[in-house]
Amino acid sequence: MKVVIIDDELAMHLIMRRMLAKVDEIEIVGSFQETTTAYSYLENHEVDLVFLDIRMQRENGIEFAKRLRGSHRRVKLVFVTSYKEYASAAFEVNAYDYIVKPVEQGRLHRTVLRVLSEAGT
Amino acid sequence: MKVVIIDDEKGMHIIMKRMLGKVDDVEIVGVFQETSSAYTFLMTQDVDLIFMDVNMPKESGLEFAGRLREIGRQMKIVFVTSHKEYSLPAFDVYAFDYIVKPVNQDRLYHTVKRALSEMPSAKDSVEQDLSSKRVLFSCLGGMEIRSTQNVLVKWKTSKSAELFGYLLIHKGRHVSRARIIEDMFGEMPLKNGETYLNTTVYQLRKLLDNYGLKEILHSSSSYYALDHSQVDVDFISFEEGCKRMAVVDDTCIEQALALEKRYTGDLFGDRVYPWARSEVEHLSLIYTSFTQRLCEALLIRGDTQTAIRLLMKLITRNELEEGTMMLYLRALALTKNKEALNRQYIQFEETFYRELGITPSLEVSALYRHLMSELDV
Repeated sequence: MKVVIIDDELAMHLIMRRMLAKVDEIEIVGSFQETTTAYSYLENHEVDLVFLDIRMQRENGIEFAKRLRGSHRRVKLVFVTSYKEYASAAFEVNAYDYIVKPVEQGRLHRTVLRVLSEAGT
Repeated sequence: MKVVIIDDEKGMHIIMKRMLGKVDDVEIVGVFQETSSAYTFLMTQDVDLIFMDVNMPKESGLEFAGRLREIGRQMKIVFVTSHKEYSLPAFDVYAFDYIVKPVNQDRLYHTVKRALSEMPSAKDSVEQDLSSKRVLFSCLGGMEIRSTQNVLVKWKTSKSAELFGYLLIHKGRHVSRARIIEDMFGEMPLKNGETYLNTTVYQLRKLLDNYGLKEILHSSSSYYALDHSQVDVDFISFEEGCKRMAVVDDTCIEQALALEKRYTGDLFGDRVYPWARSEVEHLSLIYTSFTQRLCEALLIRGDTQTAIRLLMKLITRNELEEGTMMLYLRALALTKNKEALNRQYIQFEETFYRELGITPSLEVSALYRHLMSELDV
């Protein structure tokens, strides 16, 4: 399963990579600090799952998700954020899940396993 | 896609049903005001999507969703609530969506479309239906094979029709040659029976070949089997349909009416086979009890005319069935026709006495008196 990480903090890339490395089927194909490069990557590559921060320097995660829904209806979006107040906005962009930082390993794995089990059917 | 609605407000049931009614491929299989009856229902039924309120007097929608996830149920859950603040915990129970009341038709429509697009193999099974289920084996009220062009099969011999029916009621299971010979050719010497069976199998296979179905008749030196999985067999579909509709309520009356129409007569119609007796009886009982459930739902809905039409059909089939009788009396009472009610009851009494030498049960007579006294008021 191909995964992309978008978070303006580099430390988060590291944490996510380490946690996701424990799941065999996951291949992290890209990690980005802002949405412009991420968007052009997603334009040209097949991706199954995107982990997406919300508060970022330029475009925020929700805005980006709205833009993405125009062209990439299929990709699953999981928000990873320190803020709880975007949860209902997340549903409006068809988020698959919403994880509050600090990311707990068990919570993240449940999400990933759920995606994998759906992909299998 | 099978959908369930759980909301403590009945008004929401109506709104949701109306909105979902406009979407094809959505079948509302259950509507509940609280979670415990929904739970009982979900334990025996497969459901694809649940629309659920959050704040309810007893268990909340979030708690109920958590309970479903704990036991491994993965159906999609969409919360429909007036409160925004539960959206974060909704993610923790894998909510598929979260719709804030008042429900906007477009918003709901998009959610349903999205759910439909994710249904596993929905498209595949439709395609399969089109490609393979072109042939209909129709055994209710007669015995026919029809193809897409509606061409009827001509049975060359009555025995090939009989073998066809025989293997069909065994629903794909292996049946030993010895048993077929005993059941179908028992009246002739064994040697002749064997030869006759071989000829009959040959005729049947040739006939199936006309429909490209030669290979569904499996055979070995000791058994035969007819694989019906690629074909629409009316009595098997009918029985499965009745099983699926163990509960007939307002949400599925239309489907139930369509299913009732499929029962175009008893199994194999005028062709009477001793080996089929128990199966004919079994299906007839299934039809009766299913139609009674349907009539019950029709009476609740207030569609007395349709109920009466179906009940008269049931009475023609068996005029001594008390369940049918009671429904019929209730239907007549709803039309406020006291005279008809009275006349019908007396007729029931006479039939019972003539056929069985007894009077109708206390339950029937009590119902009759109750209905009469209600009409007096």
